[in-house]
Amino acid sequence: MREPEKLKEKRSWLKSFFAHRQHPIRILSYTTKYMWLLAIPLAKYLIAARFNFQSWFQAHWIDILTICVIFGYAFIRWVFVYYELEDDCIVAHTGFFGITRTKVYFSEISTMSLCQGYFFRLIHACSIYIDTDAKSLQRADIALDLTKKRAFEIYHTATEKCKNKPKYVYHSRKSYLMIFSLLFSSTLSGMILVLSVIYEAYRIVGRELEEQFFRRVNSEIEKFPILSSVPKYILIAGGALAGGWLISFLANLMRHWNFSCTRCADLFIIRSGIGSRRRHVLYRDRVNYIDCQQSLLMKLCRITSVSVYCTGYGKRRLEISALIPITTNNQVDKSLKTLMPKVPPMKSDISTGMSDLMRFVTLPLLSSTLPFILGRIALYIFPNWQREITMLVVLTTIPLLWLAAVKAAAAFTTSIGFENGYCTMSYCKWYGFHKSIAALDRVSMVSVMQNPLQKISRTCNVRIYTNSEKTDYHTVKGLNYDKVIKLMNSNGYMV
Amino acid sequence: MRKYRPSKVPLVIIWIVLVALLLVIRYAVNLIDAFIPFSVNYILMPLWIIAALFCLLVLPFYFRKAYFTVSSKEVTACTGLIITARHFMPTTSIKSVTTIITPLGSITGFNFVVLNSLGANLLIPFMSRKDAMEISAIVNSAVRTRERNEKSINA
Repeated sequence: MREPEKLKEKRSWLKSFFAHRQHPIRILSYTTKYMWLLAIPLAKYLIAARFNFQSWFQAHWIDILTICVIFGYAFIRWVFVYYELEDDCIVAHTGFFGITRTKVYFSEISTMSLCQGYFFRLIHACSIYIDTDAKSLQRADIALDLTKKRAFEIYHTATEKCKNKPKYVYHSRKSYLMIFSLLFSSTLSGMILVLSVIYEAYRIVGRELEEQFFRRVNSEIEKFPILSSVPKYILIAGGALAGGWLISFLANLMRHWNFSCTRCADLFIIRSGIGSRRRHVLYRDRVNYIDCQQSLLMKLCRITSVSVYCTGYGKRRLEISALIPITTNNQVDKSLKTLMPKVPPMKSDISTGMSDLMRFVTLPLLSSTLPFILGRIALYIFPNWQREITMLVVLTTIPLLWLAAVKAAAAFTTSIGFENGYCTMSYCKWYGFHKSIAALDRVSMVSVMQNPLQKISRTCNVRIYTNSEKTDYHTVKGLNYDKVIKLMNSNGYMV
Repeated sequence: MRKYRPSKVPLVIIWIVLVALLLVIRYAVNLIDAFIPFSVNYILMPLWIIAALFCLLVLPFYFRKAYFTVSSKEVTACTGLIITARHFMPTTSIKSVTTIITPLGSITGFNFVVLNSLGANLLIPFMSRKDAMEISAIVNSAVRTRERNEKSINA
C-alpha cells in the first residue's frame, strides 16, 4: 500500500474512533473531585512563580505527576466508553473500561431524551438517555454525553419513521406556562402558612437563641421602619422561602418555555426549554397511563394539567412528565383527542355521590379536632403560652379543614369506568384530584380491599396497579362493593 | 382451577415462637422485678392479651381465609387480616417468578412464591413445598408459552 493511502486509512480510522466516543468534556467528569484540591494550589503556585515552569515543576513534580495519573486514568476510561449505531439498535459499551455492553433495539425503547444544559450548549455537547420498560442497573438503560452532532444522529435514526408522515402539534400558550410554573414551583399557597408557623415556633422556642447571630441583621433591618416591627426569623425564613420559590419558578418556566408536543407515527416528540433545551421521544404504545391532575383551586378555576407516564420520561432531577402542561378543562378533551386519538372520552361506570359524602369527610373532620385537643392539653401544661398555642392550633387546623373540603369535593368526583380497552380512574390523593386513563394491557394487577367499616357499609377501595419501573397504583376509594365486583368480572378481572 | 391454601404448619410454628418469646420476656422482666416499684403484671398483661388475640383470632383467621388460585391465564389471591383484599393478576403481565424454598421448607411450610410484573408484585406465602413448586411451574409455563407466541408473531 502506498504512503498517502496508508495515511488516509489511518485518518479515517481515527475519525471513526473518535466519532463513537463521548464528548471530551466527559474526561473531566471521570477525574476524581479531589483532583481540584491539587490542581487549584498548583495553578496558584505557577502564577506565584510568574510562569517559571522549570522551578514550578521541580518544586511540585509529585503533585503534577499525580494529576497526570488522574487524567490518564480518566482518559483511558473515556476511550473505553463508546457506542455503535446499527440499523435497528444501539449498542453502548459503558462502565469501567467498557465492560458493560448494553444493546437496545429501537422497537423496545420507551423514552429517548436529549438534554442540553447551558454549559453543554456552549461546548456543543448533549446528554442522551435511552430507557426501556425493563428495570435497568443504572439511572437509564443507556446514558451518554455525546457531541451534539452525534446525539442528533441517533435522534434522527430513532425518529426516521416520522419522515413524510402527518404531524399533529400541540403548543402550550405562554400565559398558561406562567400559571403552570406558578402552580408547580414548590408550594406557593403553603408559603404563607409556613411563615406563620415559623413565626409562632419562634415565639415559643427561639427567645434565647436569637441574640448574637441576629444583632447584626437587626441593625441593618432597623434602617427600614416597616420591616423593624416584623420578627427577624420571619424575615430570614421568608426571604429564603421566597428566594427559593422564585428560583424554582424561573427554572420551571425556562424548562417548559416553548413547550410543544408532536404526535407523529407511533411517537410523541416533546420539546421544551429556553436556556437548557430538552427533546423527548416517547413511544406511544409504551405509555403506561395519562393523568389529568387538579388541585381544589385548579378545579374551581376549571384548569387541568395532563401528565404522561412512560418509563424514562420525567424521572430525572427537576423534570415533570408533562404532556399538556396546563389548559382549560374544555381544551383538555380536544387536545387529548389530537394527541391520543385512541383514548376514549372519560367514562364512569361506578361513581360516588351525595350518599357517600359523610364517609369521605368523617376522617378529615375528626382529625381536624386533634389540634384543638392537643392545644387544650398543651395549655394545661403551659398556661402562660395561651396566645402562641392558640395561634398554632388555628394554623394546624386550617390545612385539615381544607383537606375536609377537598374530600367533600372528592365525594362527587370519585369514579371508575372501562371503555374500549381503557380504564378510567377518578380519585383524590391527599390534596390532589387525579383522572388517570390506562390501557388494559398496561394494567398489571387489580385489588379490591375492604376494612371492617367498609364491610358493614358494603363499600370497598379498588387499587389498580399500572406498569412502571417502581410499584405504581391508583386507589379509588369508597365505591359500592357489589357494583365493583360485577364491573370487574364483566371486564375479565375475576376478583 | 386449583385452590391453594397456606400450610397450617407455619401457624403452629408461629404460635410456638410467640409463646417462647413471651416466656423469655417474662424471664427478663423477673430479673428487673426488684427494681420496679409496681407489679410486673401491669407490663405483661397487655402483652399477653395482644399475643393471645393475635394467636387465637388474627393468625387462624388469616390461615383459614387466605387462598390463591393459579391458572395459565390468571392468578387470584384472597388475603388480609383486618383489611381483607382480593387481588387479580393476569399472567400476561407477569415478567418473572421468584420461588423461595427455605431449608426444611418441606416440613415447616415456610415457602414463598413472588410473582413479579411491571409495577406490582404478588406474594403467595406459606405454601407447602409441593404447592410452591406447582404454582411456580404453572406460571413459568404460561410465561414461556406467551414468549414463544410473541416470538412466532414477530417472526
